[in-house]
Amino acid sequence: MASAVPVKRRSWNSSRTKEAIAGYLFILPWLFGFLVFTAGPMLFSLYASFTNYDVTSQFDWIGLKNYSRMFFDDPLYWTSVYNTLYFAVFAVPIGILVGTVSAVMLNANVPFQKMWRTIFFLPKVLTGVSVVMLWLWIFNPQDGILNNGLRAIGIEKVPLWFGDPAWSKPALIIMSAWSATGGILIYLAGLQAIPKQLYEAAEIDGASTARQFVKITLPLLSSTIFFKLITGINSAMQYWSNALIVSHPNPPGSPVNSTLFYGLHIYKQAFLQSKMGYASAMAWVMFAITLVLTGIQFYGAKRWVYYEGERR
Amino acid sequence: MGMTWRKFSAVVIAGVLALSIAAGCTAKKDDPKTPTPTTPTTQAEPEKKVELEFWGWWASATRMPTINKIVDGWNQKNPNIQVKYTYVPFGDLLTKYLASVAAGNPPDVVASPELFTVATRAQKKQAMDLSALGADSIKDQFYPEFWKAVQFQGKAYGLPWTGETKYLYYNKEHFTEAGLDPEKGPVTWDDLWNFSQKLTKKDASKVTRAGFHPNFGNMGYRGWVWNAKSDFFDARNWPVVNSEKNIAVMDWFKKWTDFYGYEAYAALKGSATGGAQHLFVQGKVSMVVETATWEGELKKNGPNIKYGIVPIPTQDGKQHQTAANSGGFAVELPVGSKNAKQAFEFAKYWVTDAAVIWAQEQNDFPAYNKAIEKISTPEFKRMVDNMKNTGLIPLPLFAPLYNDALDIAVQEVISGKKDSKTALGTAQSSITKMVQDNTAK
Repeated sequence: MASAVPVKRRSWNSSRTKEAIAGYLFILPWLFGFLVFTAGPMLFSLYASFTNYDVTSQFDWIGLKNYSRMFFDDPLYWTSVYNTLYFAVFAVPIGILVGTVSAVMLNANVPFQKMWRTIFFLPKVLTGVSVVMLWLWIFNPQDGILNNGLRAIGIEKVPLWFGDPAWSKPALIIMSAWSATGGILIYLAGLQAIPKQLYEAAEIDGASTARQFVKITLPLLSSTIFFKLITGINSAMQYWSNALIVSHPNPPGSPVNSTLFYGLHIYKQAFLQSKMGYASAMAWVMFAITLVLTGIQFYGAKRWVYYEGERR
Repeated sequence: MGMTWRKFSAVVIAGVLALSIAAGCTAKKDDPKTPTPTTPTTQAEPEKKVELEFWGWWASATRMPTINKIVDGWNQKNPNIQVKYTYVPFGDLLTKYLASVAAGNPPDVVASPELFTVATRAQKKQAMDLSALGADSIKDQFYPEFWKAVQFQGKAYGLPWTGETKYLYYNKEHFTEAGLDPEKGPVTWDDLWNFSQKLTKKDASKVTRAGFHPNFGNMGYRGWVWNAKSDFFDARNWPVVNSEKNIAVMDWFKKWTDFYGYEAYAALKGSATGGAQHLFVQGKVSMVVETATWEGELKKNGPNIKYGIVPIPTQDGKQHQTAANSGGFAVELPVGSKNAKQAFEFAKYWVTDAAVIWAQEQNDFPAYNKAIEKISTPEFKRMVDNMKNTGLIPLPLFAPLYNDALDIAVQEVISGKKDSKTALGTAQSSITKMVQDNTAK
């Protein structure tokens, strides 16, 4: 960090420094919590990832063994990577599409707007096991409303959903698309922030609604979409608890490991096999993958994300 | 830029230091010592008053009155050993138990981890050696199969609390309708097959009623392999997953699936959830294996169903120790409990007299074999009678997730992707790998 350029010394009582100190003091409670409860355990797990840690009986340094096992000696690891990427590739764009479209519709002046907004916001409020149980009824291959509907429109070979390795992930993606409408608040806030006069001007110039959407709404909503993209990828990479519920009472990840997501694999190693060291190693690789994906997003964002007030 | 970076790193270093101090504190307790053996306590011995922390996963309005009755009853009789019950949700119990032992601040008594996994926690130095506290002196009070399950290297690391057994339930009305004698349930595997030919109903697009399928209900491939007097591990704990016998049982699964067609089977299987949605309660299956205590649920959810109960059919029609199988629950003392001696006294009570109260009020089956002296309902007597046909098959320490590999083999065979021999061959190699991974340091 040493540089040849002379650095201007700041005195301790300059107002900038005082402000900085005050700032640090304000974030201190959070910073303390972060260091002790988040960064600390993270560093601990980084160390643990080089050991055979099993929480109670052993904690010996084994070097890179966990990592080499992961990449070269654990076929289920690659299954879990594949499942997770499969889920992310479909669930994230579909989620953004559903979120954006429903928000744009709910932003329009429709009758009973408040009621619709409440209904669309429900998935945010209704979460947890009970919702998954409801979905299991919908996806019930024999008598579920979905398959009965498919049969009613003449489809004889209906999907078995959670009974078939090929359909279990699509079913989870459909579930996640439903819950994506729960994120409309953020899109609505983004939409409200778009200046009305832009639309007025476009209308005077004779632009169609579709053109207004593409030329005004989308660019000005791009920062919101970008935010949703980053958080969406993050949560898709960490997605797994629903898979545990839908597999029950069969082994977690059923059928045939088709819902064995990365997080579920970690959970099984850590808590069902007591391989906390190995699980930690997997978690750190996931951290690296997510970091790279996010980095790529930020790099790509320069091309399409527009912040109001920003100069190009 | 330079300043903020330096500041930031200073904060990080300070944090890491704080953490290593914290880690040092817990590390001190990293040395689990089993308590020194004590002679069984006599009631008269004066002791200082202790409060035991007792974890359990019950909080519902149906469970709590019994828990309170047991705990309050104990507290009144034992002024020096006061028990405080703490509810820990079922899904969190094992992780909290593990974390509390790692942190050196565990509860004194934990109810109730699964019997199958007691040995795992013994090996991991998470559960305390109870033989050192005198547990072996009460071993005769439990069914031998349950006592066996809490053993690790010849010592007890838990006390067996509840278990279960399984029966074949059959729908008498379906039997009558199909021209079968409703008072004669199936005895052999052939009976199951022959009866099902008459009981099964199909319409154009789906099977509306299946006579039987071994993969419905509560038995699974593992259960039927044991029922066929076979196993997945030999005496040296080495996997023998793809043995001739096991392949034959898998072929039997395939035969049943083909009888209905895979799609129809999977549709039924996929719609089988618990409670009122159970296939047997819905009348969609005529014969099913379920736990003995499931009868209570059946009475509640299907009050009009006329059913019969018989021991689980076997290949030759003769009953044996693993014709049916049981899970079950134990009570354990975590390593690091400060009042091990008193905790053991309470644990003993919990699995004996208290287990009788629990069984009476909660329709459960205690591992305590003297419960029959106090509970005389015909249902309970039938469970006791079936104990000689009920094995408890422990989870091999070196392959705790072996059922995952079996489940995949079953799925691949019945969906027609692989034949039994190939699928079980794959399972054999993946389970062998599990054992090797877990035995290698």
